Amino acid sequence: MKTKLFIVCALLISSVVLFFSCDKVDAPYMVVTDVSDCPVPVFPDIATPEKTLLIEEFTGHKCVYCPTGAHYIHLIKQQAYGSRVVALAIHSGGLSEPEPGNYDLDLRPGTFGEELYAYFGSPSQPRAGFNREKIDGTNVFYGTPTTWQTKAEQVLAQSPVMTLQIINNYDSASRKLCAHVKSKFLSANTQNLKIALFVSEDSITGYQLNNNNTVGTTPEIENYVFMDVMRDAFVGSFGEVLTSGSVAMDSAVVRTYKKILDPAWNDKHCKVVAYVYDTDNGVILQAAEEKVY
Amino acid sequence: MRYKIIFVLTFIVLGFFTFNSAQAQGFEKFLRNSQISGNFQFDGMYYNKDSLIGAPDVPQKVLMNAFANINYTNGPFSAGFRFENYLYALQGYDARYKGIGIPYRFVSFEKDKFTITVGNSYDQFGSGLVYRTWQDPALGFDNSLDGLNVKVNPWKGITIKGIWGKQRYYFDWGPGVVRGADAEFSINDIFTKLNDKALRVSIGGSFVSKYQEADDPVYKLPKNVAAYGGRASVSYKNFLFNGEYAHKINDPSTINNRIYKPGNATLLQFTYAKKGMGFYLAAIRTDNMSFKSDRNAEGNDLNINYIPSLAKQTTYSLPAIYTYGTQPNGEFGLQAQGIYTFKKKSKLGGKYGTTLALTYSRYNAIHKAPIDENTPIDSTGTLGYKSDFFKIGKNAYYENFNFEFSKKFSKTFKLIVDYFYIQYNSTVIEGHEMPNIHSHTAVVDMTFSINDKHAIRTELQHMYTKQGEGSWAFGLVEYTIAPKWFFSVSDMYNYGNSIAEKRLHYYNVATAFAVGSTRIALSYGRQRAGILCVGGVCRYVPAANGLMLSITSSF
Repeated sequence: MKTKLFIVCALLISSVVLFFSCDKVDAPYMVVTDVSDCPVPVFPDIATPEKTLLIEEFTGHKCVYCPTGAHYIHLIKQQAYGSRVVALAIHSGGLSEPEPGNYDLDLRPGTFGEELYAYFGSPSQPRAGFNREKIDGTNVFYGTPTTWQTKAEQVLAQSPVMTLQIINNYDSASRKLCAHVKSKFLSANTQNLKIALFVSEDSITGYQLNNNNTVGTTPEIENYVFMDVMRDAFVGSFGEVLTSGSVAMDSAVVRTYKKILDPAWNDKHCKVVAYVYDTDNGVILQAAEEKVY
Repeated sequence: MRYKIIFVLTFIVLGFFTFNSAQAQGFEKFLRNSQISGNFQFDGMYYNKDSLIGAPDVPQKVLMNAFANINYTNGPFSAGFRFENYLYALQGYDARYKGIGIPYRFVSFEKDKFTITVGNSYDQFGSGLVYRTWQDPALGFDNSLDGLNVKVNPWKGITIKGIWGKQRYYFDWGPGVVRGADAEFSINDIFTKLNDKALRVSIGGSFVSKYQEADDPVYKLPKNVAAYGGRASVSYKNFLFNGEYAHKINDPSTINNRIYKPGNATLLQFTYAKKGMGFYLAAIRTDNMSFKSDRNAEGNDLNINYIPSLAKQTTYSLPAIYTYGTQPNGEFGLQAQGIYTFKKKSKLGGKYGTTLALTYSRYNAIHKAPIDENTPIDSTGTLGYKSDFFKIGKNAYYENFNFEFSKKFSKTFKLIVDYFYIQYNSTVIEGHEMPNIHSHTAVVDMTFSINDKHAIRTELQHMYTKQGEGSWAFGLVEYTIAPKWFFSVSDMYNYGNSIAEKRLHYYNVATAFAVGSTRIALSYGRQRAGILCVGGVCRYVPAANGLMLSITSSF
């Protein structure tokens, strides 16, 4: 009888201990960063607002078709309108997973890339989105890199509804980066908008599988140069609310964000990429990028 | 020196043969009670590049999966391990299955109403809504818990379990720690007066908590996340009712897009069965109920719980193309099944009886509404959405109606006829954006027993659909020479594909030879790309072309 009582007591105590082994989190659910040490600069006026385009590309270093995708993005950026094009290479999915040996480079941006990749249905790679516009009326991300330039031009032909500017203040000693972003509306707006902000890095070298001998050696490129690699997010994969409800013409919102850059990244090759999108239809209205240095 | 060694060895040998008779009897008993059992499986494939079906060039040419379970039991003591070998894993299995190792091993003993297991264990609380660890080599799924598993029966009719450990993650462990307890009370066994009553009742409750470090610059993450549930089972004569409800506190994860809404799941099952007749009705509603020991895990990795599937499963190739995979972020499903066997020697039953079965299953989204007018549904870093428990979402995920006629006409001929109507939401289930698939499939399965040893089985299947890859036809002939030989030829023909170049044949020829408990199978052919699902858990199977060798053995 004593043994049974002991068992019951032990189980009750264990249950109580287990029951309190849960942490309920109250709103706000996202960490609010103190940016009081990031004084806001004065933004210059933009004389001629222009539509900008964000090309988001899901890619991976073990994706044999991906160098072709990157090649076509490079060609798009070399066009006359190239300065209006911002690219983000999101290394995600199984083809971006590092493995011992030549492919041990991990270019995945923490969990952010996987979140975005999963959100957009984990498509085959390479796939690129053009301001997340459903250009063919159905899809947001597209394969067949040879068609990307046409899609980019279609989106860039639109008129801008807002401007987006970034000013970075960077302290290389502490690697503290203050990113200031100004969104200004060129007409009254009633959309529900979010702003998302990322750090990207250029000129990372490593192995890349390849099956296209016009863009590099096959079956792999030893010193492949990865460009526009998404590294980190300032406010999660999907950003934060910028405006909801009516916003008057010429009204502006300035936001400041702060991040300590990872010492593994080459800060001279790092950029801040920002974009504003409509949360109801997902379409990106405007994008911008600015080097950290 | 040499003489010294000989002297010591002689002493040991003499000692071995001269220890007292009681020790000798004990040793003999030990040996007599010892039992070693196990099984072995090898699957290897030589891959051909086949650009027509999309089968890639495999650099290693030959891939393989193999494992062997070795178990030892001696009365209340048991121990075992599983050796696994992936050099490299077959296409379609996660590339993290790479290498050789012993990722599963355990020691277990029973003493004083306790069963204590240390090492890896598989277990389940209730129907698994808050905890289930299991393994399926075909799926490449294994979420065993490495740690402690204690089970105690303090009184007759009471079973209490406790678990504590980390989950297997390929050849490593997941980052989270899983702790939990479960209690089940069989009321009729506890109270002797109720022992013989027709009404039988049992109730149970579970609590599972996971711990994972949280140091995220963006999100406030809970380190400890708990799920708990209660269940009841009531049976009376031919009726059986099972009900279970589970709840999970805030658990922002990659799967749920980092929302903080609590999750819940409800499973209700009703069964009526008597000789020659059965009826089953079940409903399930899950809402944000993915529960993993790593909040960043994806796919089937590190599942702590299990969400049962109520979708009809079939082994027939064509209807199996469109099999449902459970949606842990939210689904509402139901299944109704009736089976009736006309008695032998009746008008419809004939000499051997006739069986008819009807099954209907359907899955829809759950109702979701924004938490406020400014926050889109499923926005990360929010409560995600509001959901009315009794409202069903408009988005249909899956629907399956199946009618099966089964009859043995004579000693030499048996016939099974099936019809399947399947509606399949590929966008939700596979993540491919495409219109819902509506398919109609007919199956005729005939077995001709030539004599006690020789039998021929044929399958003729046809699927009609305008969506997806279009219509298919399938034919199979199997010839069995019991108990050793087996031969088969089959072909799946995608004749209705809207793209002429993709109207392809997926042929397969196979043979198998069995000797005792060992079976060797060899097959050559094409494998269509698709998903393989078992109990609602799925893995992607890529297109393949090649020669496959399988060896299974047990002892």
